[in-house]
Amino acid sequence: MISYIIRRLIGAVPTLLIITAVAFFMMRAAPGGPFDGERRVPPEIEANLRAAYDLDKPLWQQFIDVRPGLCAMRFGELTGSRPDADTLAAQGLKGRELRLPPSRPGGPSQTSSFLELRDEKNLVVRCLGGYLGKVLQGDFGPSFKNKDFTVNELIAAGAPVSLTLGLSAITVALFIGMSLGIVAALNQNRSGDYSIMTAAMVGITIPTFVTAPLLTLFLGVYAGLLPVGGWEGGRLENIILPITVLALPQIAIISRLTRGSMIEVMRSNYVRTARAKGLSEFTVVTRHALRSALLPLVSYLGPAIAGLVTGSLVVEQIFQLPGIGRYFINGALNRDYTLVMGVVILYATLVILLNLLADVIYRLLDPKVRYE
Amino acid sequence: MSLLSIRGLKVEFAVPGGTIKALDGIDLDLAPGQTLAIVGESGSGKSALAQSIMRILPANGRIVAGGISLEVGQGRRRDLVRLNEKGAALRRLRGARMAMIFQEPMTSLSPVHTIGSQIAEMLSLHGLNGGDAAHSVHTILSKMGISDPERVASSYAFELSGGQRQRAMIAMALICKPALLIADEPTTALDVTTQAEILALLKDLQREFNLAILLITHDLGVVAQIADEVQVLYEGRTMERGPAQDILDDPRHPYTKALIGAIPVIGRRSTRLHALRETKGSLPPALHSRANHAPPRGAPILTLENVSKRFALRHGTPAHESAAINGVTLALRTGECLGIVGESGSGKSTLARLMLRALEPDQGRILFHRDGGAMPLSAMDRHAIRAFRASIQLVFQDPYGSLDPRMTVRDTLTEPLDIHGIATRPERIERARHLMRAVGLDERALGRYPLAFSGGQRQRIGIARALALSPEILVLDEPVSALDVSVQAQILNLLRDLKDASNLTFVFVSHNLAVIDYLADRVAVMCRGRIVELAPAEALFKDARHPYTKALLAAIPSLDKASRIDFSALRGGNASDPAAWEAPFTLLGDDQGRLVEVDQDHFTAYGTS
Repeated sequence: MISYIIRRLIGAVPTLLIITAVAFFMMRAAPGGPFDGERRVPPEIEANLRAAYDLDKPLWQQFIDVRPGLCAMRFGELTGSRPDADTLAAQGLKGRELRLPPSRPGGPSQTSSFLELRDEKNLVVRCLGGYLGKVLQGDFGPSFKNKDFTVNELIAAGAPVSLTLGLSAITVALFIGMSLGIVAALNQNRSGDYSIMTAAMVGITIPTFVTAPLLTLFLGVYAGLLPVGGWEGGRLENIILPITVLALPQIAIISRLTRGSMIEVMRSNYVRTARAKGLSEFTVVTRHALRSALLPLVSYLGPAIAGLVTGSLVVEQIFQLPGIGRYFINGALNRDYTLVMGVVILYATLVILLNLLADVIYRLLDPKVRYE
Repeated sequence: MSLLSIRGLKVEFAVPGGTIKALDGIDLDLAPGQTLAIVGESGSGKSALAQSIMRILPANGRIVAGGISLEVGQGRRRDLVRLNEKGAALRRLRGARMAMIFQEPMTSLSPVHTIGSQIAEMLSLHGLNGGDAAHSVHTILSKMGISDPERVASSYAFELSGGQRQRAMIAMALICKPALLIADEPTTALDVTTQAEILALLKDLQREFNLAILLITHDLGVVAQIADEVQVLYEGRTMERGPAQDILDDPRHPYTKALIGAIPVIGRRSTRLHALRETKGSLPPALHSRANHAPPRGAPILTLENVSKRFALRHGTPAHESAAINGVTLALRTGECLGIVGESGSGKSTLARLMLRALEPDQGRILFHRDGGAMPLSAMDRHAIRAFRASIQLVFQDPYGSLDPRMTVRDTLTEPLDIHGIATRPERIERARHLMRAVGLDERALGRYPLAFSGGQRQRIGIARALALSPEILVLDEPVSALDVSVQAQILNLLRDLKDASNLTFVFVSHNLAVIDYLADRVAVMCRGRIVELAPAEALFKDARHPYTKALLAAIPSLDKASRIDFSALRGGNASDPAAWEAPFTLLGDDQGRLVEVDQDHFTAYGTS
């Protein structure tokens, strides 16, 4: 199992690299640039702006830059002198110590934009520059639009909000959806089944941008029970509505999935065997049917959680929550290259990790898969 | 005093648009230590009877009348019909007083629990876990003839062989020492040698536990081997009941006679099978309108020279036999019917697929003879392959899965002609009508979809489709094993008529020796990817030379109770182990052996080391 996880993680590296590259170049291929929307600036100022953000370089160098002596050049730019690589090494400087000055007073100093490749004497022989070089060091760069903030800072502020929302919603949806699905399956083609499945169909078809304002209107405005928006440090009252709105379609999907696989399993030969053993209906369902019936659900959950955590854009917008979804939309509209890239990479990583988690759970539940 | 006594049992199933009477007034009595066989075709209600007793009928099934009286200990009796289906009183009886084993042990065992935990669950459920549960599980498994109970207990169902699974199933049923065992087609899904072992096991256990066995089966050979009494069911009613041997030897009821007449029996190939509902095909004289390029009758049409095929074992899988072909040399003769017989995993289907060029051999070559020349399948260009495909056609095992449900029969039958650009559209439809008549179907049904046909009719359509191109060779891969006895008889008779009326060459793959005997001129017995014996059918069944063939023949339950299965010939489960065959048959490791002619046209494989 451990070796399986390690293999999958190693396999994820090229995937992430490809996603990063594709997103980078597609983003740049889109018409317009980050500074187009602003009021007109004199050409020389725009040129300076572009130079400051490396936008004046050829596109491929913006993405990845492996020219020899790059470290020394960059060091020279920072300090005013231009030592060659040997001098740099002689001073015992390592790449990570090349701190850029803080972008605003009191802010964090930025790391250098290079990933160093060292020889056996631990000396820097070649630097990897460009966007990829930074990302490999965990630095998503400065935001083009949210001045004075790095993308890392923006994500660090927004991700917990989105994660809390998404994970709570899927937990709620799992609990309620599975219970409803099982009840519906055990009452197949009776009134309980029909009413649950009708409700589920409605839940799937009504989009969140309809349920959200409606719930806000009734529970927030008319009844005055819950606040209509805002985060306020994630107070329970504030997150009930957004979580409900996020969970509703998931409850519907999960209950339908559970019902379907449960009905199939309840008809299977081994459930008949379990009954013939004299087991109570409760044990038949919980011990013999449920475990197999959960398998399709597990495969659905990986992508679903990723979708929930990352796909709460609408809900975050309607309830004015400071999650990353907001940044994603605004960043895409404003061509905030670094911000969008940062969010894309985060999403991709999440999707990969959650799918891995789903596969691991699948393996734990189904002994047959362990061998394949 | 009987243990189980059923009176006037009526069961109905609710289906869209009405109800089906599955059982219509069944009476039955079963005494301790006795075996009662319930015999009938599918749809006769025999499984509904078993499920009614256990009260595990599907949700749409209902007992509408009658009583099921079971002696529950110390002479007290309960009427099972009056108990609540989900109530505690009934649950205490299920598993403890009456237990059931099923036809498909693979799907009837939980896929996600170990065998051991499934058996131990019975102990804790019925309050018998006083001692060491794991020890009790191992004890009962070894009693079932499992040599390594620890490993089996910690395995999942899919890791075991068919025989081991059924043994585990029986262990689970018997660990609480029930008085009644209901066995619903317990050996139908098993190979013939495994079936013989399971039957022997059931007999032994019955003696030891004074067990009453209610055996549901359609196999009269099984009935003859272990039943004391027989009750023949047809459409939910009892047709005949009495001591097993009396009924088999001297059936009184016409239905019983017909049922016995429908079953192929080895050594009775000259007697035409009596299909219960015969539908006679009229073979059109011009079935072969195509120019015939086949070699003269008796000359080789397809030859396999030292053919081998290996399949990579899945990584990390526990020792699974790869169904490989290991050095097979064989000449298929024009106009003959070659039967290929073997147990599951012996490679018989792989061999058929190699002949069709659906698989490429790793070693050796396959030659197709026509127009006086011979061409290796592997050297054929696209044009030659097209011609070859029209000359060799396949009939599949599963008549439900092998017909496109969205194509009418007309489309199914004319598509091959269309692909090969034969005839004009009206001629093709005319040909389709001929084909329908040839397989005994109404040509007015051409516009219907497969859904409208029964399993037997679908198999006829499958045969008609294969005949559409007027092939020279017809490969039939288990064409009757998914069919009921009487339908099987219809199809076998149809194939026999086809064989007699045409110059077709048949390759007939089956695990059922009696079926092979009914149709085949020559038989190749396969084991572990090798042909171990190849002989004219009559010689093979009268004078088998190879130990594996002998074991196969010995394992077939005969209708004659006096000729019990010879368990010494089964070699304690070692029958299919080539290393355990005595000299000169011993094959060690990958030894391909060589076929030696021991009698005229009669070959057996000898080891070469």
